[in-house]
Amino acid sequence: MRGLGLTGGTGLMYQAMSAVGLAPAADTPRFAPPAPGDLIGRAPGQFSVTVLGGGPSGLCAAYELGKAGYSVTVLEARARPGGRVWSIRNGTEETDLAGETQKCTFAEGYFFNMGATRIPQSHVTLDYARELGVEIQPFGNQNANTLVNYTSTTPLSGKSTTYRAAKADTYGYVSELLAKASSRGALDDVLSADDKAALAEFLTDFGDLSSDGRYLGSTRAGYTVEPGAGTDYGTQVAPNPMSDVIRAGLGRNFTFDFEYDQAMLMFTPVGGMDRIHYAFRDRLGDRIRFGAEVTSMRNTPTGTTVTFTQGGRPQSITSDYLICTIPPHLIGRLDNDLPGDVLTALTAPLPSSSGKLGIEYSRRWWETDERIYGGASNTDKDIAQIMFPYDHFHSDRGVIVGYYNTGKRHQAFESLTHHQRLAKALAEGAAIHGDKYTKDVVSAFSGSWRRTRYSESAWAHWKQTSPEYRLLQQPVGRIYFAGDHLSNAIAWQHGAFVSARAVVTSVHHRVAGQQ
Amino acid sequence: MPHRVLLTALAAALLASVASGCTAQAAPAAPAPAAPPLVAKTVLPTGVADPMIAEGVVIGAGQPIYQTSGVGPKKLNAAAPDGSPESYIDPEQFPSGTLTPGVTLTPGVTITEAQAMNALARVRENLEERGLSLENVVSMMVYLDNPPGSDRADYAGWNRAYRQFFANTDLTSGDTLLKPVGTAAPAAPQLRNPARPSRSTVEVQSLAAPGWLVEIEVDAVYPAGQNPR
Repeated sequence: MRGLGLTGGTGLMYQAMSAVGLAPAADTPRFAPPAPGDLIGRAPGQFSVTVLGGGPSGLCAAYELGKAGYSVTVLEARARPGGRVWSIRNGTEETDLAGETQKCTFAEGYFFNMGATRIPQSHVTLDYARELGVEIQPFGNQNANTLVNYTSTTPLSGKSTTYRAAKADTYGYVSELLAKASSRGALDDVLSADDKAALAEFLTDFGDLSSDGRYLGSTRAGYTVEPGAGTDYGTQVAPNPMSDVIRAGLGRNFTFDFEYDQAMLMFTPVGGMDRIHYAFRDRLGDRIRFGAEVTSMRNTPTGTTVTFTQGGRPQSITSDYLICTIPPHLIGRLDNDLPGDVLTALTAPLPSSSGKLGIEYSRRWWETDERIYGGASNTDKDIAQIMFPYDHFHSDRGVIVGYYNTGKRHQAFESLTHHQRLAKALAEGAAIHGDKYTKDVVSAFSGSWRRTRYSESAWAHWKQTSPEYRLLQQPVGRIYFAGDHLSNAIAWQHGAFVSARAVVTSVHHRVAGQQ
Repeated sequence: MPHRVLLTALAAALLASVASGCTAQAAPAAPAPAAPPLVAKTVLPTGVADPMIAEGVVIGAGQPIYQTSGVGPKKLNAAAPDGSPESYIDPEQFPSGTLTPGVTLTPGVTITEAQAMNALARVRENLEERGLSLENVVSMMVYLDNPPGSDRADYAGWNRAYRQFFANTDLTSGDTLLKPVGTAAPAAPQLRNPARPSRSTVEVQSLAAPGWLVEIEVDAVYPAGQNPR
């Protein structure tokens, strides 16, 4: 590190490259990309880096290293960039690991994101969208008009309720109960008289309580007959009984968008999440080799060697450094000379099940019949949720996501054939949104990451405090590992990007220190 | 290079047979001298849409065969005492139902069944590490110890677990067959797999690892055009 201060170019210094708005929080260390001048006079010739995998971490690493003039080659097994960022649109064709082939026939311009679909405001993903000129738009991560529908031992079991009504009732009753407990003196050991007065004032507002501290329903729940002109005062949605609301657990998903990385506003690229990765591809050009399936990777005395097949032809490539972004549980399948502890550590991040089904309808019934514009309905059925499109509002068709689920609930679909998945999803969705859910279906496309070649997992399950996690942060000789699984934002593009940036910084420091 | 072309042709034929719901079969006989070498062909009972196992298997001379050691369940349930049968349940596989130490089992799941699901997942990992899959399994040997309190191996529990990973496609329609875990309603199996290997299941006095009730050996044939690295 001492050498860096002496010899490093501008790109090596942790100083503000751009003063405005690039850091998500004021104290977050800034990333300083390698800069064109950094390598001048550092060593004879050009430094080369091979990147295995053209997903977010691989593309980001190659793009950033390319800024300083590294000779980068990305080997990507698929015919497209993005990895688990995969937008399904007309012409998308995929054969899964069980040998079933699907071809997407959505109308031109329509799509859904099989993988990543939303970006929180704090993520560096937005910085790349800005830098690469990818237009973004808001993504509805919550919608008062979508529905909740859960199984319970109450009359509300299997009944659909709008989020707005579920929230009005839940907040109302919880406020009523807390106000009651406070006014009866149950909290006198922790609240002063002034505290209690302030709390009562807050709860009256938060729960929309009556003057005597009860929840008697609220206009927040919405209307069965909309208010109109003159004396059309509208008909309020009646509150459900307190005990039913509490026992039915209508509020079980309210905290979803309280989470740091799920809170509104959220964003997404116009035209599909893969736009970011096609923008990387456009910058990298023929430095990405598609259809290149890696078969081995090794350290050599002077660098690294990778063998791969492309178009059925075995080939090899040598380079000074290697960045491996292949999913950890698939690395052991490569011919390699990694030490035993690293191979063992690579089995620690466990693969997981998740996936989605896109259903194309020839009628936007969710807009015309239910006034739902984006967001998602939530259920304890296997489909878990129904996500409504954030694009093509008011057009004559649209693609909804008929399920996005994980773990056991996704496994209820994963091993089915596509037409079986669609049938099950339509049946469950119809129980929430009614019979129209099964009508006007034009086409569909489904995917399960566990059954998708080259991924075989949605994301990694492991602890970022584990010894294995720490071990894989370190290079093995000249081989570095990168990916969202090596970050504190697993399953987010942000995680892949910050992991790539960390590896880029390590490689660059190492190279620049070499005289 | 002609050899390579033949293998590729066979790979295509094999994929087609998998897609149509059959297990590994030889390509249709082509005119001599271009007849592709036989990979493996399981002989299934005729007229049955959902056979459990094969009557036997023909393995071609040309393809490498991978034979596993005996694979048992992995100790994944830290909440159960060391060496107890319950310590060999995979908590990831059982999210709901009645409570066993450290694990919430689906109703009606037997200890043999739970251990077998764990062991089969380990067999899957073992094969995938070598570039194989459970679909490539042509033959299987299964050793069962009696569950505590029983004088007979739990063959029914074992078979339920087996169907979660093997023999769960309709050979006529190609659809995935819903299969039960425990006494739960039939549902999508853990892994879609048309393979119906030849198989023997025997009860043994004991297994080497204390607490194991299940040990499985499989033979898997590398698909045409694919070799061990």
